[in-house]
Amino acid sequence: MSAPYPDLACRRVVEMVTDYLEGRLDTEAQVQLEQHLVLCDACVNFIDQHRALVGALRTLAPQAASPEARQAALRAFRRVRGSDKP
Amino acid sequence: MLWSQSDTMQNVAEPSELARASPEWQLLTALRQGDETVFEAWVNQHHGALVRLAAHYVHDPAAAEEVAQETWIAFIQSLARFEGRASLKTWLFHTLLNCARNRKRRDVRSVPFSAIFDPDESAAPTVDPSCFLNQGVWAGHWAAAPRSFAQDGEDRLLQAELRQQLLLALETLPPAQREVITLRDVEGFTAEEVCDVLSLTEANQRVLLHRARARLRIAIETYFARAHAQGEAE
Repeated sequence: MSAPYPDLACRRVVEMVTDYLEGRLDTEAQVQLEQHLVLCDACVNFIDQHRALVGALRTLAPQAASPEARQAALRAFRRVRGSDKP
Repeated sequence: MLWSQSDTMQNVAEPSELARASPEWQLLTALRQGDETVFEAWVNQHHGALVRLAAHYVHDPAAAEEVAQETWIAFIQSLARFEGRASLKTWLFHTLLNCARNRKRRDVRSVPFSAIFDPDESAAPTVDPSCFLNQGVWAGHWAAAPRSFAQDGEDRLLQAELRQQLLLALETLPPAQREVITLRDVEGFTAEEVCDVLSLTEANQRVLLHRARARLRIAIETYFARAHAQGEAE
């Protein structure tokens, strides 16, 4: 008996995941990877973990500036612009 | 080279008619003319991200806020000589990184050694080799299949505790990886924008992103495994 997808081991798939999600694999590698995914639920899970991670990171995006910070930046804007004038 | 070596460039090329019609040019013109409404909206949009990125360098919320304010001043001062070879957004974040790195150099004691140490590890495997079988026809395949995070409930990814875990894990990344993943995945920059801000090649950007995501994935997996074990024990 031999493994059903011998050309691409999971150990290699895990190093290809970012290139795959970024759409940067060449055609041959992409076909190989997708054939692997048809047969390997473990690697499907692994890639889903990466997708879930990226989704979770996006929710960390910060809030809008506080009124104090906005005012401080605005004061700097006026000051620098004022000193620019002849 | 996207960024001019000289920040005192005097001979600013005249933009083409097409460039002048772009939203980017209109934004630049409004800022140069002192349009406070446009500036305030721009601050609202980006200030939080500036503070978050600065916080990776100074480890003190008040200092991060100061670095962000320094950045606004440097950004406003540089508007007159902005050449439009990159977007204003990438220019703003490039300015932030300069301010933050300068601050770090002035204030090294505030940064732990681990944050400065950035080993070249680009060839090392990102998943523990013991996760894979070593011999037999299945050599190189998973010894134990990774669990889908969805099995643990995808909504849990939004929970406060997990967000905290992610923030902590971000702190432990080598600086270059942290900069890339923060801009790319937290702030939603495109790969091209990240390359512009950090002066990276596209391939290097991807390697750093890959290694950063790999480390954070392990952090979440560990968090879920622990939560799962606790749930079973209860």
